[in-house]
Amino acid sequence: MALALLPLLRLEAYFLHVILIIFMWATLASSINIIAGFAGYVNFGHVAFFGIGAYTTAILMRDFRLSPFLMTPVAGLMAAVIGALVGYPALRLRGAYFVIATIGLAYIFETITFNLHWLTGGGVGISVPLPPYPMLVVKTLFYYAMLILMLVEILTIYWIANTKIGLFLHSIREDEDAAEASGVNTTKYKMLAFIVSTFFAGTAGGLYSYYMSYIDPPTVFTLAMTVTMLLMMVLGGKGTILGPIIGASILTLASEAITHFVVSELNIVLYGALLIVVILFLPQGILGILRQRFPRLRRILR
Amino acid sequence: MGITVESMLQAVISGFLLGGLYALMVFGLQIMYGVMKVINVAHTAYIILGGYLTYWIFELYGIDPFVSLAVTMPILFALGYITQMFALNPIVRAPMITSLLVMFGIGSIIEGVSTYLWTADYRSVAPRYAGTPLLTIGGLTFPTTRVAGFLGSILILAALHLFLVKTKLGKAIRAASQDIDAAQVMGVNVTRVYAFTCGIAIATAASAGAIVSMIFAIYPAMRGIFTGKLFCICALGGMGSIRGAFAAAMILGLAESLTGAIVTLQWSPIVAYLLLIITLLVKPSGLFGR
Repeated sequence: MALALLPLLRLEAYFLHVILIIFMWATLASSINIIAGFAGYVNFGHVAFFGIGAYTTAILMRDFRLSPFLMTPVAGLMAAVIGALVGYPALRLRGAYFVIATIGLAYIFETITFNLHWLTGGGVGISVPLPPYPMLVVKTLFYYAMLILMLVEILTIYWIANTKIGLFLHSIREDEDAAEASGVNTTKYKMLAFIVSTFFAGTAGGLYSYYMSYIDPPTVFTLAMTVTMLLMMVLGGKGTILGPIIGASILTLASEAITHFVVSELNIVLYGALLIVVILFLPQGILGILRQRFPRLRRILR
Repeated sequence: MGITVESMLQAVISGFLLGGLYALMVFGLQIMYGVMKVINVAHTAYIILGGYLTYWIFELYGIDPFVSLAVTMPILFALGYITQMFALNPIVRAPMITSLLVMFGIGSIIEGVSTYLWTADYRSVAPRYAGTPLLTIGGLTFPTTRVAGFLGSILILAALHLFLVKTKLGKAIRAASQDIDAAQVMGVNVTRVYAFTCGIAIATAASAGAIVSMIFAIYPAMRGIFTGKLFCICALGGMGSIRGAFAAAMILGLAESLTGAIVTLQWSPIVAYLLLIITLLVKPSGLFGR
């Protein structure tokens, strides 16, 4: 509720920007949580689907002048379709093999995007003009768009977590063979999780390209983005509903603070150090720790 | 360059020479996975770091890259040992995502430090014999640095093979990679073996980096390109299989080179991934996979 009313306070555009970026990362972190946190399949190439969505809206806007706000679900669908095509062979692999197979995903799509320059503009990228309204209005529009996307996703995840789908995904994560032996159609549910996760990643990407008004292959296909999503997921608590959102909030704010106060090379070093610290000392995530210390709040802290 | 017998043969030669280098690069990845079940996503960062150290020694003291291996390899061995002891041993029992993220973090740190120390400018090591072909048969050139790199790779790999097969520590490492519990029962000190394996892995990364610095121009962010290729090699050859990795490395080298000659150079990075996709569809565990 408070979030919906926030833009009505006459805040600076920068403030809206930061929060809307938090929404976007929350969406991304939650999307990777579906396949990595719930199902245990760590998709190291997840950012590829973000990039696919980004390029979808950019190309549709450039060639057909279709409003990216309307086309965002299309971007998501595009990512989901490719997700299905990629997921079908990839999900046959377990553990380490799956990671290795997906590590290349982002790079494959970056190279394809780079080379198909008649479609994607190659290394030059695509410029997507912003709507011709004043800055604050534009930011507010995107704020609501990202907020809606995030809420839709949270509802979806809440639904997944509370129905048998979530149960099956957990069983796949814990012991896939036992799940299979118990009659769970692991392929179907893995594919479902993968497709849903790529859909949301693609949708976020679709909005992102419009918001940034410019994309090129390296920006939207970086491995570092996948790692950031994973880090947010782990920091907040993987396999939970609220975890990725908490992680996204903390990390985005921390990242903004770091970029403002620290020189650029030290930036990536701090990022790496943060990653290591979180993983070594907080593997169960913030939500995990809270649940341990306040068992009675477990029902809320999901 | 049209498709002539000559250009194809040249491509085969280049691919062969490149494949040897890839095999050296991927060796470290393979033993780390085989023994510790760790996917070292920072391996390429160590390779590039090795390249930078070689560059530094070369620029400051004029020492030939192959000679400076005597310095760079021990340094990176120590670095690997420390990495294992402090970053990986604590999380041995953790799920895979933990070690993935930790190593990515370390990779980022290495990249950041490299950028700080040597800037993002392209650096390369050019000893006197660089640029001149070692020999030229007919119209086919054998570039000195590449041949030297290939021979160096083969030598180091052969030495490592002997180490693993003949020495007590080598056998302990192999035992650990087959069954860590049984190895412990037989008296293998797991902590030491792990640390040593990581040290060896990173030391080979150093040697690969030295060769890379001669053949290519290095820059900190380069690790991304190699990471992709190395993992494709691992997938093609089968994770944990050294023989498979060697075969896959040669295949990739040849495939890339031939693609570059037949199509254009721009598409050759994707060859690695095409091979990956084919592997996934046909035999997901790789050529020699377990």
